Amino acid sequence: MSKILEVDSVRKSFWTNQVLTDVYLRCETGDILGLLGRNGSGKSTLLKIIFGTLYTDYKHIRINGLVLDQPYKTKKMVSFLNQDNFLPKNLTIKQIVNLYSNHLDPAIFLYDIVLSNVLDTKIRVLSGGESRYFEVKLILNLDSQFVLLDEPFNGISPLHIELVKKMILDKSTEKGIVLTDHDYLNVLDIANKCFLLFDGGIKNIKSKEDLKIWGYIPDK
Amino acid sequence: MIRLYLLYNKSILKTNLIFSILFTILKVVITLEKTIDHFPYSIALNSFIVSILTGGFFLSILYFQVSKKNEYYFYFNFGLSQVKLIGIAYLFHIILITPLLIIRFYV
Repeated sequence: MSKILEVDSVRKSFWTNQVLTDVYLRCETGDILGLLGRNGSGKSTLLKIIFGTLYTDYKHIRINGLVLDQPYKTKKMVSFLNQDNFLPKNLTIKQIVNLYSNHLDPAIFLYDIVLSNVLDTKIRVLSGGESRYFEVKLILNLDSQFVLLDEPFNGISPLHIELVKKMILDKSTEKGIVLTDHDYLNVLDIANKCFLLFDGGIKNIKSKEDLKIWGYIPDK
Repeated sequence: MIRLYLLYNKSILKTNLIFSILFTILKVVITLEKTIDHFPYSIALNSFIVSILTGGFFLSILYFQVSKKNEYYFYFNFGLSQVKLIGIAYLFHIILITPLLIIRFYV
């Protein structure tokens, strides 16, 4: 059965700067929503509001018809990949996978071509790309219905980006995914719906040309 | 779930022990400057207990908030809120400090 995440009337301002004005998003199982926008346009802010860790005066979040104020507190609902590294640096990959073992299948990490050689390595010793790859894989494999990915391609080499894209596409058959990244070509490549956060609102994006029209990428 | 609470508590406790030991040493040095006839065991114990349950704990939470605030997302993905984590960590601290409280009152 298809699950539905609906986000409506989201407004957020920092002091006098209105970042989000009446944003609406709808994500279903099978969807990969790509969110693009300039620095400071409110992409991460919006994802944190949906996850429920950032307070705002106005928002309406509904998952499968259930109105939730802080969706992250409800089990198996939403998982979130933070923009910055968030795993405890003094733990190894194996230890972290064991901690999450009730929420995912540890075997998928043991045979991963990127991670199998660094399973006993502490997070602080991993390269930025390895660490990001592990975080993306971890969050995508949690038993939640929706996944919010904030800059999943950040710091990952082109070869591994292809693996990440495949992971996202595979997981989208059973989850709804909202992702944001500045790597717009890869976002456009895998997203089935794409939006641009512009002036606090959401613009529908059909192609690269639309991004030029809205001034997200240069005209030439 | 308990392992996650323990992990967070370990982070907080490590920092708290450093703050509280430093505070206790400072308190003992100040006391020794005034009365140099004997080592002030009870003052040291009192200072340590008070610090670990008040200022040391508060400073450790603050330190985590400033230097490791992104790590909270590790716990959020399990559905654990900051309030829950801090509350349970404080409870762990009380349990850990109970033997010292007993020593303080009965020995």
